[in-house]
Amino acid sequence: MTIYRDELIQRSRFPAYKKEMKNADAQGEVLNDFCGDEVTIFLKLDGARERVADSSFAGEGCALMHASSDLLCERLIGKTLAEVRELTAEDVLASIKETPSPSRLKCLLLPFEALKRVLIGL
Amino acid sequence: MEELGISIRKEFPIFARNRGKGPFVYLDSAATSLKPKEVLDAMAEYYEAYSANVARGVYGIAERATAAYADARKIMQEFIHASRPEEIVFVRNATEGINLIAASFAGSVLKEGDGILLTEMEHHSNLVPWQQLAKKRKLRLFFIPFDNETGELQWKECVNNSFLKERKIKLLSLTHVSNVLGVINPVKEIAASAHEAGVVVVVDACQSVPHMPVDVADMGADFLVFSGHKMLGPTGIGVLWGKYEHLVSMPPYQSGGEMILDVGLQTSTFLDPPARFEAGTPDIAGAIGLGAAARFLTEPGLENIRNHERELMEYALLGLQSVAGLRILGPKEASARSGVIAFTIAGIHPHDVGSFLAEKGIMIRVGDHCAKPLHKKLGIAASSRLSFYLYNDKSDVDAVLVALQELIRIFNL
Repeated sequence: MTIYRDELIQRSRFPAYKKEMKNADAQGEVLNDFCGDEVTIFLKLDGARERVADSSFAGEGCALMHASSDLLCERLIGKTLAEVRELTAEDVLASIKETPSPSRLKCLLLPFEALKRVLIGL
Repeated sequence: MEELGISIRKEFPIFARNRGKGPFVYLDSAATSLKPKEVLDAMAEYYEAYSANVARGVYGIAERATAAYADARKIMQEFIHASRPEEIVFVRNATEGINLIAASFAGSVLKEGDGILLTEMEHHSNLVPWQQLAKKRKLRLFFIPFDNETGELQWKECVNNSFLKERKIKLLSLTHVSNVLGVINPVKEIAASAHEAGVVVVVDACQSVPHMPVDVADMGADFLVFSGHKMLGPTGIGVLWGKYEHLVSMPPYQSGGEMILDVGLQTSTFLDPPARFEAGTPDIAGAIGLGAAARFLTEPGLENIRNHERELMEYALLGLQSVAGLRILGPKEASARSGVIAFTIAGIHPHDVGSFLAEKGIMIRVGDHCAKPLHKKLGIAASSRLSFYLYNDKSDVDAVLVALQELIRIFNL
């Protein structure tokens, strides 16, 4: 069995949410000391500052990081901030439908770590 | 002589232990090597039959342990052709060896404003200790560049009298073989030029001593370090070799038991090298295991191991160069390189290469290989690295090539 299923490859090669957000309300960046990958998660809130109006990511890294970041951003849009705060690492992994080896878990959770930093600023 | 490649695998228990669990293609010996049964047996024999401390006991097993420890030192002396066993200091690994030189030798000889010359291709272990020393003693660091395409060290513009004198360079520390580029540096020539300007030369031989004949007398360096675990030995033991005239003038690195001549309440005097640099109970089993490893390598001989790896490298270079989008780092000829080859593939991150190969039972190293400045200079963050040893075979290279073609296919490149 490979973790590199077509769905994951497609997401990593053609991410829909990979773009710098100039007018973000909050952003958070993390670096993976294991491989040097870095990712920034951007959030834009609605007028009432209750819901995520838009989300995107930027960074350099592997296919797992790209696919996981893209999925996370897609998932965040439309959620209330309260819902976003309730997201857990398990939720993120469940949406990717993968159990990576321990050494690659960090790649999949890198955007989630970045999200935690975003939330500190909100 | 025993055949190298697949037939020597029977000497390494790890292959049998992993049989029936799918392919076991180990291509990460530059990180650490596999261990033959002879090494494991030698260590078990010490622990089971004569596990006494060294240099003290007056009873039988203590004398046997002392003799075995001394014997290991003698084996290592012969292995690198040092002029006397006292020039062999057992340390934890090459990193500790470099830290010892930095603290004890360089720390007492170099003065504020002096320079240290390194290269841009160093492993962090031959960079960070010098950065720390430079900070503490207000020294300046300089770096010999390498050619991005060939990996060749451009040393002639730095290792000459005027360059060295102008920058008050007193010490040059460089790797014999790059753990990323695989390039074999002409350390003998470089050391000769450095000595003309009175510069002391330290060689990181982690990637050379296990894989090719190394003769410290011929090389002409002042210090040389290597780790045991990369040459079939156990982890936790390595060697610092130094010219005796240097070692004898150096202050202790660590202090305590086993390194003192006399101790009073206020002051102590120290033993001569190597004991002066081996404070506390040493890694006795480790040294014995390392001695057994050196003996094991002497059986096929380093010349044969080198030739075996060169053949694999020729085969790998040919195969990898035919992979679309693959860029080989370092020299493109097998004769200029050791059994290490790193590469990148356009559009696929090295960690994805590593994970995909791992799914196929192929073990390679991915990342920056503890050489971040080298990767930065090449404009990349990371690379994938294969490294060969005496138990590897062309079929291992074939496994990699097949897996890479499949990876490229699923990434639709």
